[in-house]
Amino acid sequence: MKSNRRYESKQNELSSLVIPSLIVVAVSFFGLCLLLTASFILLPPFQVMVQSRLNSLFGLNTVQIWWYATRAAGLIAYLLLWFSTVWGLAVPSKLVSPLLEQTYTYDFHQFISLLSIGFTVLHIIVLMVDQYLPFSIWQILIPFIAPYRPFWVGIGVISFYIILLVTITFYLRSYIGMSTFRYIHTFSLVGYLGATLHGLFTGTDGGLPGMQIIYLGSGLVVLILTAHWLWIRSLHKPNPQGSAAR
Amino acid sequence: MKSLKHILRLWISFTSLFGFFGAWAMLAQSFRPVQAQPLAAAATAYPTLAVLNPINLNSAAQPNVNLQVVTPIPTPIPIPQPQPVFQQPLLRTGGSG
Repeated sequence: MKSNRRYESKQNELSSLVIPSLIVVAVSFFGLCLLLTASFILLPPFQVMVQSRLNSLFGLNTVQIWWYATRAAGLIAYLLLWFSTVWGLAVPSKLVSPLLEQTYTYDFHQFISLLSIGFTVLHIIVLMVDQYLPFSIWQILIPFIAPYRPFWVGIGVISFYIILLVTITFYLRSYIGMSTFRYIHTFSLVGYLGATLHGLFTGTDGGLPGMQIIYLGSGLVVLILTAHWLWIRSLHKPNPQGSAAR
Repeated sequence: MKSLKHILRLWISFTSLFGFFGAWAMLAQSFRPVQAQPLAAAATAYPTLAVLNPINLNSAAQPNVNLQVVTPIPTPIPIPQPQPVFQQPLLRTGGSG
């Protein structure tokens, strides 16, 4: 009972701290957006200045605009997948349970996965729009037939299918049972590994030191958390020798 | 506590959107298209192609590379036309063949 009360008070403290700060961030962001939009519409010289700044910042007047967009969407999809994988490994290892109730941790994990799939779909759609290196719908859906780096693009396609399957099973838990759901869920690690290799070897930005640090650093975190999860799992496994002796 | 769920969702959505535009800007700054001016300047300074280092266009054919090669128009070099040489026709000399 005591631990329950302590847990509840901790939750209340957390929500009283986190909620107002997040509201302040969201309100200030909306305010800034409104201010920028109003100045853009009302002040023509400002409009010209903003236009030239946006052109220079996002490369809007270059032929590579779609390439920038697809790579950015791919990178964010990867980072969200990483976050979802880390969250998914942290939940059964009880690393986030002191902070958040389990209902929220599952819901958040599910939402991050959906968001990652959303950005992956954006990554795919922009690839089809790109005139510089156009991909057909079949070259995107069927692995290993892409015109550009077919092996690593194919690895990315297979990873996307795995992540899609794992995410769909979130909603089919009651039909397939928890053991099947958990079994399929372990494949998300394979999907994550494939996405990492796809990002590292397909994207031409994979040669940038910053990108290599992102991929290798995130991969290392997942490796450590996987080892921790396996260790926790082995601790909770019933010992057959011990039970036989009894 | 239900609002916490929505706030978490809102927070990750905004962060992703900010990240998307941030990554776009970072890529646009890191992979600017190659400008033609340096090559044109080099071509002006060294008008013969032999002086320039060979460019491997196969390795440069990446989706982020926009290579524009500007070569100067070569000055016409008068090539002396060879004078026609009329040879004497070979005559078949007899024989039944």
